[in-house]
Amino acid sequence: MDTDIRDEIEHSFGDGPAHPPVEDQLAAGRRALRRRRGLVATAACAAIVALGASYAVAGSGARDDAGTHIANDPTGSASPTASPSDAGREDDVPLRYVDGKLQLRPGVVVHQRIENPYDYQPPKGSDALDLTWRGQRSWVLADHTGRGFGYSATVPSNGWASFAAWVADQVGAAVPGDDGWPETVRLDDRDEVVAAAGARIVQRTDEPRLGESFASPGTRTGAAVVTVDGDERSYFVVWRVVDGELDVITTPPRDVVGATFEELLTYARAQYASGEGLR
Amino acid sequence: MNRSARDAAFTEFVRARRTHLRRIAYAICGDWHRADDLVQTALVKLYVAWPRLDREGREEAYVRTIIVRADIDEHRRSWRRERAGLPEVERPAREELPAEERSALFDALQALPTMQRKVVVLRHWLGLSVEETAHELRISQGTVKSHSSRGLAALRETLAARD
Repeated sequence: MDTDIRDEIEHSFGDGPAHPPVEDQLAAGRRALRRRRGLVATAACAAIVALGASYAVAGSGARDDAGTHIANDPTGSASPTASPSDAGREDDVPLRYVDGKLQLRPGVVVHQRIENPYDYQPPKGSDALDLTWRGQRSWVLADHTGRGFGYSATVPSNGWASFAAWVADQVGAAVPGDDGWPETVRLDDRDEVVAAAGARIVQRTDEPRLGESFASPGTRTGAAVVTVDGDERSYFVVWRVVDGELDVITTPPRDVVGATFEELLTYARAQYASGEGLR
Repeated sequence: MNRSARDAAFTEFVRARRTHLRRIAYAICGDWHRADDLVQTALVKLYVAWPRLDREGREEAYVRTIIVRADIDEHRRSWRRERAGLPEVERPAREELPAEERSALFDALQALPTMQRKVVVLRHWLGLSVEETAHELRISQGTVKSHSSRGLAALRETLAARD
């Protein structure tokens, strides 16, 4: 029967009208690539200011985490060449390219580096860096092309589970909807929200009362603190079931440390009441 | 991969697969213009991410995922724009379809609630497994099975009436 259905669907409609010229589709892709690179080259200050504000909202835990990370991060020594001179660098930018090679300001600590995320061909190049400079943890994208030096930065935030997930999103390599967080809860065969494989729900409520900006009345919602096998951290998650689909919003583990479940719920309610939300 | 090589490979892929990809989009949304938009959106993202996806051989799966999820996101946005307090009901994505050649089965497919239709398309037309379908649509395997069962039952009724 399945083969029959497959054939029936296959033959139930045609190929449609003529396609747009493939050249148009190629040109649209090229424009998108140029826009993305242009954004990288011009958005540095705006990104820092705008996301700096949301960083402050995230609370002091983020700052403490960044500070601790600088001192103890074993990958800190993996920094590319550090230059003793600041000559030729733009103000407030922790790096530059000299003859195609990445140079960092003194004092910059690199926690993680992804080389050439844009997959440029020499002599062009690009780098993604998770770094700390002047006490500020940043995720940075930089590139050098025939049009000059491009740079953008953001404060690590809730939007991406990891530096790698952020880089993938910035360079257009991520599948929409994949935020990189571990799976914590899932819908089971009875359509109930349960712990995902390898996860354990530590505390839970199915009445988080997050307000109508989160979900309309009657929508199934919930919140929980969840641990995941192989990961010592705890995650605070909230969810809603819309059209039979489970939508889970995960907050960074650092925000869970030291907070009670009720405090986390209060924070989440305030975030949704303000319209900002947790994502 | 330099630009000309990227363009050539991308163009070859688009020429070879765009009819199939647009049919997937059409089966999901029931409108050729919307299907063109969905495919175009997906192809733009594909071009940007082309070097990595080409190496991994995941071009088509990537585009399909974007088409399916983009359409889901569109429906979600619509839902979220609704005034709070309205009852949530499953309903077909479109109330009117353009007059064009298609079978009663296709009309029955379009009459299915959105998620049922996506499950039937992925599972019973494209041949994805229950697990793959659940992952693609970000729903549970149990939900895939229940949507699949209901969706197929509706299509079988249409086929029985035709025969």
